[in-house]
Amino acid sequence: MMTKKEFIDLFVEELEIENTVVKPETQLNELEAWDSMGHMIVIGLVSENFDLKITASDLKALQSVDDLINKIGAEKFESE
Amino acid sequence: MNQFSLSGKHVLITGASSGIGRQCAVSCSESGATVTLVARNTDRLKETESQLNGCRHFSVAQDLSELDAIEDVVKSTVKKNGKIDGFIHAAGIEGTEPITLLNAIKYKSYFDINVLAGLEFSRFLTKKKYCNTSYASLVFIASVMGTLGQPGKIAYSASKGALVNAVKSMALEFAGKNIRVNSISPGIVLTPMTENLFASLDADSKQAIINMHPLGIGTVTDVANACIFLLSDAAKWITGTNLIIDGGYSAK
Repeated sequence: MMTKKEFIDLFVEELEIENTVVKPETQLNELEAWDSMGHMIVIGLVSENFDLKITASDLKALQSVDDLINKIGAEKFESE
Repeated sequence: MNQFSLSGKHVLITGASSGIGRQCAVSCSESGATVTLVARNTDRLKETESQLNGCRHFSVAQDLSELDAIEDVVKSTVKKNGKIDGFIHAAGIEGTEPITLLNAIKYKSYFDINVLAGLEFSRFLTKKKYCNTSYASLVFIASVMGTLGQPGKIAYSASKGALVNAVKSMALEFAGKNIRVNSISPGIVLTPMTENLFASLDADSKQAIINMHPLGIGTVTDVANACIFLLSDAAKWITGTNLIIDGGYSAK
């Protein structure tokens, strides 16, 4: 189990986001790394850490980082 | 500015203590690059280092079958010599064994060095924190045996063929970062590794192999020159390809 903050840190690390401070309200489409490679990485991250299959079309429907966390399921995160 | 120069570039080379890897190190340094050498044997690394042009070079003694150590090699290389612009995976093992003598453990030893070590280096050194993206170029030394066959070469061919095709997918994954990825497939060149091979053959078989190469057996410099080209900005539109350098062997 990881906290939401740990998940966001992992998201930033794996997508190599350098110039933006990523918060729950950050809009995914504003991130340069949020392209098809970025989607592939996040699908893998979610599968490895939450044993959950999400699809690229699931991801395209999301607006914010918080939406991604809710898609995974807020209950699957440890409380901070 | 000479497009074919490696001036100002930092190139990491595996298998740099002998053969093709050693010549790549020497040739890259002569083309202006700063070189980081990685190989298992400390003494032979020192010997390579003594042949390099310039002084900012750096060696890491590491057995590449210890795949878990590779991230630390990349990390310490960047700390010491700055971000990486080029990579040559010249480390490799070769052997001539028919299938009856092969087994899963032996296949794995070919794949660990020839394929997995190269892929693990690629995983880490393409990260923005380790690599000068928009200029970087990765070169994998495969073999004509990666596309052609020969009795006794099942394990070697399988590993080199894996490399040739992994390069294509890597080229596509890294294109967004402007990192180019290519392989080079040499025919037989004279190295300590091929001297071992020749030593195991009778004179007729040896001559038969030489005769398969219309331009004769190659030299390590022939291969190193092609590496320099692929690492240089002159090759900036070349990615996902396999450059065959075999004196005409595969043209037959």
